[in-house]
Amino acid sequence: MAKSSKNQKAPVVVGQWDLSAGDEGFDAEKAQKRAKILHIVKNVFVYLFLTVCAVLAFLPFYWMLMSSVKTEMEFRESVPTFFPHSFQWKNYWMVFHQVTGTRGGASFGQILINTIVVGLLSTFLGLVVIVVTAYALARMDFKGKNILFAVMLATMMIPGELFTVSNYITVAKAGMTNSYTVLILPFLVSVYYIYLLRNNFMQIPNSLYQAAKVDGLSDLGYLLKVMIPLTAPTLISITLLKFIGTWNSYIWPRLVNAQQWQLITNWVTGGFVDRVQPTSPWGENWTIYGGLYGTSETLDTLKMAAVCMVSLPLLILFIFCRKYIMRGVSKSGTKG
Amino acid sequence: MMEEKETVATLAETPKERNKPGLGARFKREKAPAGGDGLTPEGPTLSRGERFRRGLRSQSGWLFVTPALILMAVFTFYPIIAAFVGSFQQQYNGMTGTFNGWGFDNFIRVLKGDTGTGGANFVQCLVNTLLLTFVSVPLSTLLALLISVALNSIKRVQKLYQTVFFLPYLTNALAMGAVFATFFKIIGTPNNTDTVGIVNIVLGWFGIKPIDWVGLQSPHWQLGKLNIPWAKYIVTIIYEVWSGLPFKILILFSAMQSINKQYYDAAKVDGASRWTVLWHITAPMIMPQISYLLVTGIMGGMKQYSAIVGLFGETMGMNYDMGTMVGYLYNYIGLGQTGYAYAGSLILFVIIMIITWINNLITKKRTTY
Amino acid sequence: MKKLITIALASCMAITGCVTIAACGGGADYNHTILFYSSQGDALATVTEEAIAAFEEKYPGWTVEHTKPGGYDEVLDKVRQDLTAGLQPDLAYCYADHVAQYIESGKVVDMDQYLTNGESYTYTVDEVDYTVDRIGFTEEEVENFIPGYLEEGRAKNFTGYADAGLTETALLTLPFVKSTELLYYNPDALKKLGYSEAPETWDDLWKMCKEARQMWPTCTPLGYDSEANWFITMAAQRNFGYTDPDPANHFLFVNSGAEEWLGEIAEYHDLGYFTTQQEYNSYTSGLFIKGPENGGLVFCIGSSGGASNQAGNDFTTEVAPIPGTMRDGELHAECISQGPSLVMLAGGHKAANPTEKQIMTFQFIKELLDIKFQAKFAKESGYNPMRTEVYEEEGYAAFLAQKDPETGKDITVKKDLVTSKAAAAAQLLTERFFTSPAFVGSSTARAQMTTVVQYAMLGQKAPHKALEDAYYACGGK
Repeated sequence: MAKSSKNQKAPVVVGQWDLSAGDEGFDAEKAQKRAKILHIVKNVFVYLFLTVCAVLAFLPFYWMLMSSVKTEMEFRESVPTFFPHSFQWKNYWMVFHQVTGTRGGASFGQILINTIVVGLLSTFLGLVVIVVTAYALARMDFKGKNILFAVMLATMMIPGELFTVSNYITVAKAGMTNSYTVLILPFLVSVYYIYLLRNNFMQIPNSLYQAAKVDGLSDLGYLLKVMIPLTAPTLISITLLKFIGTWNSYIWPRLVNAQQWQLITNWVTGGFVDRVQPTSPWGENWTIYGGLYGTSETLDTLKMAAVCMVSLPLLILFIFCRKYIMRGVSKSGTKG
Repeated sequence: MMEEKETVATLAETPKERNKPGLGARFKREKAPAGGDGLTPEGPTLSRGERFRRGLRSQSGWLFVTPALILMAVFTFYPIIAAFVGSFQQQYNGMTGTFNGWGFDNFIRVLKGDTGTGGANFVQCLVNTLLLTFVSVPLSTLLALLISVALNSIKRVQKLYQTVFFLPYLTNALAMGAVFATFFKIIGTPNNTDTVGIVNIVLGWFGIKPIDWVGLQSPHWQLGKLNIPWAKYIVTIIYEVWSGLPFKILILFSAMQSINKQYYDAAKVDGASRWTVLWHITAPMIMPQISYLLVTGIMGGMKQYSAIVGLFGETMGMNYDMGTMVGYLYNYIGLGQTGYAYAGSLILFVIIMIITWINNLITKKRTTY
Repeated sequence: MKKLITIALASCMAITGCVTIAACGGGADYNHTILFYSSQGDALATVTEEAIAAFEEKYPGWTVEHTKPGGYDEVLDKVRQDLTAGLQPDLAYCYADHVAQYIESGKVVDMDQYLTNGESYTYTVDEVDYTVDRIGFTEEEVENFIPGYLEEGRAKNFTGYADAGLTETALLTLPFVKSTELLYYNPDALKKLGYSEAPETWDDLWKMCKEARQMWPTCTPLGYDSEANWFITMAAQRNFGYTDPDPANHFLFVNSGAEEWLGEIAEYHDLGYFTTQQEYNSYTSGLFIKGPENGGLVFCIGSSGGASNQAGNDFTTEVAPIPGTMRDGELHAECISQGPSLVMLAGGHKAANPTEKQIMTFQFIKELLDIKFQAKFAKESGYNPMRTEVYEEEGYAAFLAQKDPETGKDITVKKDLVTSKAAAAAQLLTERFFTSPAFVGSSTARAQMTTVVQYAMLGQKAPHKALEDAYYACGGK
């Protein structure tokens, strides 16, 4: 069965590559047959290769998913189980109802709200700044533009981590600690994305601009109605990447903000150590954590559950925007 | 025949053109030698006020970059200047703001590993960073290329594979580092091992004895003062290839998809073999993407940090033997020794500059030959 | 074009707006808020809530913000960075090593001026006056602080106090609670080996380890949580050098005594007699509670402050002092004195009235040192309180006697039982307590000892080489 299905597949896949199907006229039946077999072999090989790679790429993800529903004891078993004995959805409930104890602590919901608010705001405001700057750098002439651009590019070579201390002092003096602003403001400008978008803008022919002028379109109209739609794929990729950036940041939030203002990765890296048990709807039975809850041991299953919860929205976002993202990077990626 | 050759020639030309970011600008400047929008004709008959207004307007680009500029001045340029100045202040004490004269003391101590405050060793961190980057980036690019080519040659379940290959991108670097660590981790004591980890179990099927990949007893080579923890390197490289794949596949695959089908048809008519097509059409067409991936990959690799912390914890292995450059910065910032952190990052900056410069030389050669 | 300029301007203004809002709204007013950093876990932080509540009720208008940056190292890092930025807390958990670094900033407050200050103080909030009857403790109360604890916080124990303009008698830290290292053991396993009591010396311990290895081949007899503490304790017991307050020669740990000891433990490690926290990759209490039959431990040496983690799964944990060393016919059984102290820092967040802030911070300290609260905190954690009155407090006395303070019945909850035993055992050890000198670089030396013990026990470096490398890393020449 498997073979026959591949047989069916072969002609479709071969398509443009199929040299034997050429009309040169020397098509002996034998040659054609051999070529066909060769293609089947090739396709089997290609699928095999892709499948192996895909499985390997998927394995850590699968492990994370499965670990998130194991009991803490099963997670620590000597022979790791590829499929959990039983599904502990309680882990997810636990993550959601975690409160870091006291006043000044935070709940998972609070942290999730922080992350979403900061993610949305920094993405939106960041996009505005990026678009405006990229537009100026791509479409406008002003003195010192090239120097400015060169300086901006040069900053890309310096590790941003270096700025931590100075920036901490700056935001401290401005009294910005313990706020959303402090998580958003320093990362609004991203030279990397400005660079990408500028190159994208430059690819749009000038004739379009003139045509737009003839049509009586204003500059703003031109930016909104022509340039932004044309570069939409890149903008969508930038949106996703900026979001992932917020999702992953933890050092800066940990430095500048107290617990209740921190972001999701801070929460996850805490490892659910020394936590107070939330009152659960199924009584005080904590056997799935083997007595490790509230001790100084890291609870990996909860950690995994938290990461899964965080990855899910990103996955949905990707599946919906896949087409745009693909188009976006294929354009912007050309710029070394 | 002639016609077709021309086609191929133009094909080869296209990616080069696309690779020139300055092209658009040049094009535009030719069309619009003066004026912000490039449309208003500049005439000698304009009044003074009008000319002033135009002059002002022609500089209105500054207005557009002002928000970015203000933010960068505060959060980028100022810290860079502060770091530059700070790297020459000897024994700077952040708490008192005092320092012991100006000089190159920080740089010398950083390079000699003589910081006197414990912490990571610069040379070790640099070697780790360079080794890991220059192995994992080409490796993952090559693998991404293979996968993209394979992905491009199939039609069924292509989208599914695409999504699967993109999955690693959506996860959290720190958390996934921890997942990888559990694959390799030996849990228990030397007298009683709870589990040797999946990787060791699989290796055991081939008669290979368990290796302590990420723990204290991880095997390593000692080269003078330098420590080469090869087992930890392997784990890190596997992780980095894995986490680097999604973005690279995304870029390469979409680039391949956007290659005009006509080129292939033309090649087919020419009777080119599949391999020839790959080598002479696909490869040159996606060359810009490959070089882009290598450059950004290397830049990113020089700044790697989270992955190592995820795999080996905050101390980056045993006594920072898996430290990276950024790890070095954070380590000394944490120790309150900002002078060393600044000096270290300036050295890193110079190194990245040199790498970029070499890369520019190579890519220039390739595109202008 | 005009519209575009408008957009640019608008985004400019939006950003400026953000900054302004942040500057006004985001930055809380710390004029009447005391910022307190600790390394408490959630369970203890919940207990601390009570002291905060008591303080806030007593002094209307004042609040306490309790921040938990992580462990002790994270508190140190955070305070140091905050001192740089001028955001230092008013009060922080500390070790002497940490304060040695804070002194340089000139922000460490001499608490001697408030300790027995008999004056009253009146503050005004919303035009209402409130009075603090007595700023400090009474002389009597201070006398009841456990002798020695208070003296540990005097400036003379810290190098560099004079440069910061402090006198020798300045009080830089106040002990909050105390802990030491204890030997937790599994009495059932010991009985099977034919012993009824915990080992008194290291030699006895190693002998039992040998027998345990024979009886349970998969067990690791001993787990030691802190490598650095082990080295420092052995330096005290065996009288080989570790560090010295003398700035000319701080680091004494490169010596034959240390090498000899490191050589010994390397041998024992080869025989599989012990493991450490770094090797096991987690607190060894996790191994201890499993019991030796299941590949666990027989003995576990850990802090008395972590007693609740030591409750055995299938056995009742017993507690003893850590083993000593027989030297010159005498038993030397020094054990390290640990536990968080409190340091007061001045000038954080530019308080409007710095003196008032300090006085009120001291009132909060008084709540933390309150007898009832100390008893409660000590019961929860296993730490020892620092006032003798607490031991006489009914509930705590009952707790030490392994009785439930409320019902008067024997404690049955395993965790509470171990905590009670640990607290009682640690209390008896105060005579044996020692501390190591605190100076800039003493925390580096401590961190290096962890590495030295690791290298030596795994045989990755010869003891002498490991010690020399550590000496160099500490800045020794």
